[in-house]
Amino acid sequence: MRRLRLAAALTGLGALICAGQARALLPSEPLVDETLVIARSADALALLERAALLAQARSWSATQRVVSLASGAPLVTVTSVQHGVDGHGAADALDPRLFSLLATHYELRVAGQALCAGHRAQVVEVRRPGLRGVLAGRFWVDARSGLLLRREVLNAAGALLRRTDLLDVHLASPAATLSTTTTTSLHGEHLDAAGLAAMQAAGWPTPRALPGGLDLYEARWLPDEVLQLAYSDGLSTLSLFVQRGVMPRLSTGMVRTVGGGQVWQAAGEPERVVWASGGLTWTLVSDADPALVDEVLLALPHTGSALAEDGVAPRVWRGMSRVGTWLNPFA
Amino acid sequence: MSHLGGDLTAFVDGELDHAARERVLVHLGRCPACRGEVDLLRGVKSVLRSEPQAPDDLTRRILASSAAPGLPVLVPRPAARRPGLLAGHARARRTAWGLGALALGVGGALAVAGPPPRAPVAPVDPTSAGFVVEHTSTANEVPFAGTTAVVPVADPLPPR
Repeated sequence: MRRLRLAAALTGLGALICAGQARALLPSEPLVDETLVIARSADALALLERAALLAQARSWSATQRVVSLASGAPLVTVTSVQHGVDGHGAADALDPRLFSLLATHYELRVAGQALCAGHRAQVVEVRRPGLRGVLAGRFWVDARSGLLLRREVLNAAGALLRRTDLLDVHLASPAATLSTTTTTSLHGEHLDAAGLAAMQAAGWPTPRALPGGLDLYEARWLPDEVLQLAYSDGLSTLSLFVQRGVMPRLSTGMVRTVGGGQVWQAAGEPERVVWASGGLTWTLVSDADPALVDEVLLALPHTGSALAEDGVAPRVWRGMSRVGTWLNPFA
Repeated sequence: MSHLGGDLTAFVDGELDHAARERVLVHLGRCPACRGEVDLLRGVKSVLRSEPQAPDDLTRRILASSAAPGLPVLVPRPAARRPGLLAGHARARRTAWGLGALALGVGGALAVAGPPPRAPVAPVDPTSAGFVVEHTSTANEVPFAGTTAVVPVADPLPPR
């Protein structure tokens, strides 16, 4: 975590230096100039990192509204969120670790200024790498307070997938501490690189990356022996929960076939998919584009049935064995 | 077909726990078909355990070894066979009998297979909302489930 933040800070510092040189080149250089792209990314990244630092350093309260179109039908979630300087934040909406992933996988640039819910804001565009540079996300940073007011995530076709707004932001005085009502503290134990290696040696799956540029950025060992692996590309997040044992037979939701095995999918958001493979039960929870989630599902193991079906061959063998015990007078 | 599936064979073998056994007994009290199947399974088990059949060649060898020297050996006469559809085609007949026996064996094994062995079950219900809360906490996002209000809207906000 510290290493990631340090790397991000160093990247931002170096990029800021490049930014001055790039601005001088701006009138004459073509848009595809690599130095210019890096400089723009650095400007935008520094703006976002500053917003994250401010959000952590100040006490504030707001109303958070999330509009999601991942399942086709739009869903709106409205929540009251608070952040206190004592670190007991209810929901920060910004994770500095994700910004380094954002800069790794996407090209960032400050697109200009715009009004956001009546506030003047700087807009940061996140584009997929390549000549076409399809828009993947946008951030609105309040020009006055420096806080992030809006975040949008778009799918591969450029359509809106999710929008998060911070409305009615009230900044408290620096010394004040807001009381929190819905603390979202993390459970379990954080696993560092050595912990992950030990888990891998013990036979637990620990993929460091998944399709779609989803990199492992957090791993936890939860109560009841559940391994949580959290992935992100900086815009979307995906968690894998792995348990030993076969999943129980499920009576609700939808069963579909993926990669030769059956998976159980829950209704609603975020997307939840459960399946069993190799003596393990996997649970995937994600707010990513459903098409990307399907890519990830295909890349993960699917040996055997999710519902522990009783095949013909095992039944015949079990029946033969049972008849054998009947014939054995000493049994 | 039994209404209790493989539980009947496990019941006959005395492998059910108390609760499952009580459930089967209650069902048997109301279901003549399952009672008949239990009787059949008990009969099969009893025959297999109490009356093993010695092979013909074993009987012949025992009789030959017990006969006195100089006396003719008593050999059991096989029953006379009537010529049938496959008469004269001994190989085809053996194949047919073999296939029939195999089908009976597979069918019988499926019938008495019983319930699948219990595999270790995941300690936490993967469908519970706990994983959603853990995921959203890790990602620093507000969960959709729980205390938040989720209301549908007619028209999503247009991107600016």
